[in-house]
Amino acid sequence: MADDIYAQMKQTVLDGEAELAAELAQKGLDAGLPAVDILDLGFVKGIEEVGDLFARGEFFLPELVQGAEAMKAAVAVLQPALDASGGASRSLGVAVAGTVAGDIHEIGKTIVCSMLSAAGFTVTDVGCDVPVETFIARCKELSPDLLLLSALLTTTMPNQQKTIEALKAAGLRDSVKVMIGGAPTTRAWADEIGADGYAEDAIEAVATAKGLLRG
Amino acid sequence: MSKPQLTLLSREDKTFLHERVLEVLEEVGIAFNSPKALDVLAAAQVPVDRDKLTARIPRELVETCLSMVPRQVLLAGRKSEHDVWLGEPAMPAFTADGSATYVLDDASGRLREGTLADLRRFYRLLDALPEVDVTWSIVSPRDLAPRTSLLEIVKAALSESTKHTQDGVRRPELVSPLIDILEAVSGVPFAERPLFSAIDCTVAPLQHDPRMTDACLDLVAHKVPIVVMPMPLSGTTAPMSLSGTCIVHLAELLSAVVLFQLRSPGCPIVASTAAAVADMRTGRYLCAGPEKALLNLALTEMCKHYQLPTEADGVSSDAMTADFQAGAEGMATGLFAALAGADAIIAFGTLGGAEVTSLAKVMLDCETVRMIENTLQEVTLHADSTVLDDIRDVGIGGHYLGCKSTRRLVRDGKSFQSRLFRRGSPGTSVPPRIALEAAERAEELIAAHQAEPLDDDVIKYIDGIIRDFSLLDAD
Repeated sequence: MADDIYAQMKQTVLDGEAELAAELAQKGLDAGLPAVDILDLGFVKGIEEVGDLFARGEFFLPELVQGAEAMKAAVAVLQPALDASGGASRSLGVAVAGTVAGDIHEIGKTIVCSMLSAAGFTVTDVGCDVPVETFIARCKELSPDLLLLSALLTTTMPNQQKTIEALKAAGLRDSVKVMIGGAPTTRAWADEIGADGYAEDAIEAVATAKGLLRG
Repeated sequence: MSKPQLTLLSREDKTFLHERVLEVLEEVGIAFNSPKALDVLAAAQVPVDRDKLTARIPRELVETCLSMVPRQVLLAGRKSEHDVWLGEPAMPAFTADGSATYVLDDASGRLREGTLADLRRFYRLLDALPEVDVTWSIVSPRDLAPRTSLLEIVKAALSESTKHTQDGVRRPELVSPLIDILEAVSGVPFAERPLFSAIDCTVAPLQHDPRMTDACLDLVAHKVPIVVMPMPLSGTTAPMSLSGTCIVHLAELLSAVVLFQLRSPGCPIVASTAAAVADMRTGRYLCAGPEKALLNLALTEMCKHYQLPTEADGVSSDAMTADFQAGAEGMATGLFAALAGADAIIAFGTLGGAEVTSLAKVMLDCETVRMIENTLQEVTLHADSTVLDDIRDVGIGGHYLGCKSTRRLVRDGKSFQSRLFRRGSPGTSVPPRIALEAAERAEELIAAHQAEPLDDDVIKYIDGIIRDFSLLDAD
């Protein structure tokens, strides 16, 4: 019975069915299954397979994003039980991501968030046009391993630098790895402003994130 | 006279797309993200949401504002021989592409960030090439202070070229010094000689960039032509379907038309067709390929249906070097826009989804553009009364090299003569890559060419404007 429902949970992530994922998560809790098991034996198996299929070129971005959405819907249902049990699912690391102030372009950042989620990171997307102060506040609140700063305009790239400087001023710089990205940004710019990582696209972003946390 | 044309959309298709666009603007609405823009809209009784900075635009207002856009737009050059009129039944103008991050060394394959010195060389090359009608900053120089970079770029464009130039104006405080510079160069009020047009990139889906929009609201008061350039991507920031991407694109375009016509009735607006496709593996922007060619075709048809002067995408490529892929992609995307009747086509210089530029690519794009121009030539088949005379004269066997008509048509440019493309016999060895030869030719042109210089007094005046602006308090 439990194996059967775990298989169904995995399948909802593969199918990108967020509503069904939430329903099954609730059904599992109602049946008395531990929240950590529901996550690790059901939904996480699904997102791992989504990640594998994407890496093998069999899945495309919509399948990846919708798989991550299904995962998120399930976690939202499970979160209170997870918190209450003190159990924690496996996570590659905690990431905070946003587009810097003055810039409302966010599709690149959103795709990176989905891919990091699918790869096993715990991701908080703080949106676009994000003031430096908000990045600092979320870093204090969430103590992330990674902070990802996106910019699509040459005029907003300086706000990536300002955010890094603000992290230093707040005494947070040594506790978080900073990655930058966005069409006009370059590896040279990342080096110049003291970012730890740079990625050309979302696929490289995941590899870079993993590399940074491996140290 | 007849001219090659290509159509995709039936009358019913156009009506369908337009009706859906009106429904989107009226029911979903659009985010202008600018209180100043909402003031303009609210004054015309457009329902606005001050908290979300959005508006829902009534269909009647869309139709009214569309009818207010001038059907012809002058893009003036520093020298009047380079003036370009969009919206007239003529051969399309061809413009530079813009804002690449990297310069490619065609010989070594190395990429590096672009500088002002690079940009000045590109402007000089664009000025030297007769195929180029309008310039744009092909590469974004990284050695300029962000605050004054646009002003420095415009100074470089006007110093190195006597052709019309266009670029994005990303902040409203740039408008006043920009107009000062342009009027100092032309010596007359801007509207008399519009040496510059502004590119307004909306942000898909269904948003406007607040600072760029505020800048455009000031620019239209000076009658600066605005090239409205939505860039929705099929599959990410627009629906995956051709129709869905067109609807998002056109909704953004028409919302800009409404805003700018309300602010400055009769202001010149140019429609662009920069909708593109997202790579479904990486999410990256793809500006070439068959889906993009169809977008160029459909959107150009819709813009012409609206009777808007149209600057279409484009001889564009996702290739990383000026190679076979770049040529195939550029021809497919450019020819579709040309055959759909675009007034101008963005053509020169970029690779890698517009992130890279190279000298060879500019030169080879000229070949593509001349092939497109040759394809578009008007012909009158049925009125060619002498054709049978030639065939009778030559008879069976013989040749036509001695016919006056052969000589005349070759001289008239009716027969495409390549400058760089190789069409000769193979010989006994393979010649070096065409891109290397193209880059060498570009270097020769840059070394030999100089545009008519600006007066020293004008340069000093421009430098003073830029210096003063750099000293003002930054926002």
